[in-house]
Amino acid sequence: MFEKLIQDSMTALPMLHWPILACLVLVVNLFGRGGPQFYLGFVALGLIASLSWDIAIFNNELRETVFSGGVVWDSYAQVFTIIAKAMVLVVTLTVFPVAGLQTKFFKSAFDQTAEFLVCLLLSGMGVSILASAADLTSLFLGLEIMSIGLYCLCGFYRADVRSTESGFKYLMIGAFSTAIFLYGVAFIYGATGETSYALIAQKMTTLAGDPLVKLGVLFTLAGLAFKLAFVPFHLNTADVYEGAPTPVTGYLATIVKVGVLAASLRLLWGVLESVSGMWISSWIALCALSIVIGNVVALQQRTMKKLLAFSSISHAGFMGLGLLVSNPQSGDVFPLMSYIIVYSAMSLGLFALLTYLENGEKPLLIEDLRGLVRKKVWVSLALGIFIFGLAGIPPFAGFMIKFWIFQALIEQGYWTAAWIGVLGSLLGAAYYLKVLMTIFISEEEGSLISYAPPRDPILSLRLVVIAATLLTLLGGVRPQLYAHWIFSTLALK
Amino acid sequence: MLNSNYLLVLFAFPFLATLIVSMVRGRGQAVTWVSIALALGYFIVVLLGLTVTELRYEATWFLPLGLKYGLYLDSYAYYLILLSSFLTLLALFYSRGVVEKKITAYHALFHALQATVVACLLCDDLVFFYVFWEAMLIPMYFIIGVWGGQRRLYATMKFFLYTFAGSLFMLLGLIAVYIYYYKATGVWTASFQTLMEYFQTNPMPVTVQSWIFLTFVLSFAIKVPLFPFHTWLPDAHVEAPTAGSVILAGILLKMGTYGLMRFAVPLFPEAAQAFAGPLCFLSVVGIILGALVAWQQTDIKKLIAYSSVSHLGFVTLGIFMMTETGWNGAYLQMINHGISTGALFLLVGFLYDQRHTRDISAYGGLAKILPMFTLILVVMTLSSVALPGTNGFVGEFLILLGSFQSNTASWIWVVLASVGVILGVIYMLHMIQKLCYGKPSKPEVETMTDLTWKEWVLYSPLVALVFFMGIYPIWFLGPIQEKTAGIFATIAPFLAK
Repeated sequence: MFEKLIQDSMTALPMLHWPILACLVLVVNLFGRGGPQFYLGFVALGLIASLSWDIAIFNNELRETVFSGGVVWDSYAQVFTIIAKAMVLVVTLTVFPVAGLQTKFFKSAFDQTAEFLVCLLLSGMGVSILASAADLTSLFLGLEIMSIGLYCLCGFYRADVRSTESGFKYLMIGAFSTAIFLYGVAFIYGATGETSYALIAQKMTTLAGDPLVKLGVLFTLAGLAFKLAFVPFHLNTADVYEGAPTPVTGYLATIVKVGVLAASLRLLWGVLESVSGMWISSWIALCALSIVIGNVVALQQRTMKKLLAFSSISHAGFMGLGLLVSNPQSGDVFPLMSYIIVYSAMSLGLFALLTYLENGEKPLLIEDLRGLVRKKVWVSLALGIFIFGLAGIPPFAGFMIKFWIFQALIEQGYWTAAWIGVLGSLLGAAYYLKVLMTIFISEEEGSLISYAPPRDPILSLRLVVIAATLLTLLGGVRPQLYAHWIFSTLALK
Repeated sequence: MLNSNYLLVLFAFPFLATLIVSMVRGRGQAVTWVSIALALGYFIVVLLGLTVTELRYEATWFLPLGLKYGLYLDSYAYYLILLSSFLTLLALFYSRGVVEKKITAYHALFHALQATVVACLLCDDLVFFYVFWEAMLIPMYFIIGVWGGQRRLYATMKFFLYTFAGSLFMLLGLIAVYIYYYKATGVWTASFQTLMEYFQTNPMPVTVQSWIFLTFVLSFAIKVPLFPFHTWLPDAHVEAPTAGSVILAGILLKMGTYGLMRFAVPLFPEAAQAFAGPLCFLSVVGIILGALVAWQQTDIKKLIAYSSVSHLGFVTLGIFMMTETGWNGAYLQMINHGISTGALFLLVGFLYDQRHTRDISAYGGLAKILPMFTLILVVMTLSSVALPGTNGFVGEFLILLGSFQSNTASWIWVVLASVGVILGVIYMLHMIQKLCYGKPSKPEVETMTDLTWKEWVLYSPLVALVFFMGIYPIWFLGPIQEKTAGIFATIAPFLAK
């Protein structure tokens, strides 16, 4: 019994790095009296070690079902775990500059750096579970583990009422969406009598018209859509993003979506493929609505974080379309994977810069960036590259990832989705350009001067931003940089 | 002889120039001189290729989907590259001492613009072409937005979004061609030459062609701009700095007509033939309407902007009448318009720098005060209104001749277009009369100074070209005719008899 457990744990060890590291932080916190920088450095080093380990033992032939069939440890699970760890590492590095600030606001918050990191790591573990779930119960477990950490992270600035609001609202949406999701899972279980993906998939082939399955699929889809913040399930997303600490907002906009997409990829194409008639059109509608409404609402935002919240909704729509054209069985997931990687790099880079620019006490308005280029040339250039990238304008990587998606959509005959994607890109360009205009073109002195960080970005932030910039620049000119990796790990096995 | 490495130099030089210019440190005019020297160097590099008829270069870009860094140079691309390097050199030279703000960024952006334009002209791979087609917007967006006039924010936004909208539709069309070819042959490639050869023997069904053709035409028509997609142009021109207007009118608009001649018509000849009638109609409306609106303008820059709409209408008319003569004329007219309109914008800049107004009624009597300026202005105006002996005449004459020969659309349209020529004379001479004759409207006009050595350096090559191309057009037309004949040989079976 224990032997099997230990053997399974060794197989899925990369996933267990998360709780191990989290426990180490807790133990150190019990005895140590290090400052925030100490814990951040500790976790960053731990994640780097863990990442190197994962990459070293990466094996795309591996495919083992472990933990009594709850988890399947295959190339997808490994790749998504690596991606999640890299992103959590980026978030950790992004926290450095604010954690070191001596203002009252940040100082009081970062007395609890260790707790912050534990929540972050455990939430990352949720992502790994989501990506490797082979059973409806472990899928549910993954969603919950990821979310519970996030509720705490969103409300981390306890002195700030907006942060508390963010945490509370996220908790409410989370509770609601979990209930809906579980309801759907219950229906599927009711119809098939199974929770394991493989067994459900077998039984599904004969249950195409079953009303129970229909309800089940519908509610499960709604639950996932809530987590991805798809329109019309995007209630309060903007408030959650706005109030959460900025690095956490970056986490919400990228890793959460990546985790849920990984789970959806397995669930939709692995389990529900035989009843794809039930969900494909709803899925396209959800993506299309997210792309269009996300972009339209973003046009009217005044604060940077809300703008990025709605922009992330529209990008989630694009990633959803990427999922639609994927085929994990044949390993053909290139458009989705490249979108995930490049979008996350651009977003996290952008959020890192916002973390650097804001002072935490009031939301950063787009207006605050007025004339930034005259004060911080390099910061502005990096911002410009990320924003052009997010807008999908060549020669930046943001264009290539949209190109792959459009190409796959048209190849598979989803013309309507492609047209809507084009419309969305156009709307998106309008507000991204508005931000660029404020940074580069507007002349008048802005309010930024009143609280612009007087210091230069610290090393950890520079690393993050430079890495993200390089990926955004080179990924557009030489897509092989990441494409070969995707092709050789996933498709060409 | 030059080999395919020349293509690499041609392609990479402006990118390196952008890098070098943006790294120059130092006070004063150091950047300007480095930048002008680089622009001159590039112009010379381009001139070296004058004897080239056809060159290819190929390297893998993205193997899994068959995308390539394919470069291809022929005379269609070559003369536009020549024009681009020439006008960029003049525009940068003009900016010396005129632009005070953020000089490094200004020069770097012009080189970046040149880089994307040249890359766009050289690309053989459609996807690669598209990348630069859109990248072209970024430098222009900043040039108008940072160094522009009062309403620059509005103008640059409108410019960007209009052109971006068109491009995105083309992206879908382009992907559709690419996938069509894959499904038909099982090979991924977006290489234009390969696609052309394939479609020549295996044409697409006409309905498919038509849809894709329309997405391409929409994108190119916005760039040209063809009526009714022209509304961004006057705003962009009026707000752009002088050098920006020169490049915008001289080169960027030509990218649209170039796209039509290079991609839209040769790839989809049957669809082009099917839609040629309506497109000719739009061209004629553009010619007449542009001319009438130009007549009413009080702002000189706006007047020239609308005259561009009218002149580019001739070019698209020449293209969509689908005759060889018309195409030769259209190509020549693209170059002509670059020279004459580029020069006119420089001349307006000369006035504006002294008086800071572009209102026609703020001048008057310039013939006495600025005789040399008036001389150049009149020469350029005559070129613009196509007086025999100047370059404009050859282009317009060939276009009208080709249009009369054509079976595509009724000769009545051609007659109407000819009326546009007359309207052109009216509004341009109207402008000359108000600017240069009569009495000065304000005392400040009296204190204006005439051309200095700097202006002479700027205008003399332009004036020389106006007459050279007017009197000895075959020097340009020869290579162009050959290329056009080649294209028509492949598309002729699909055209109306």
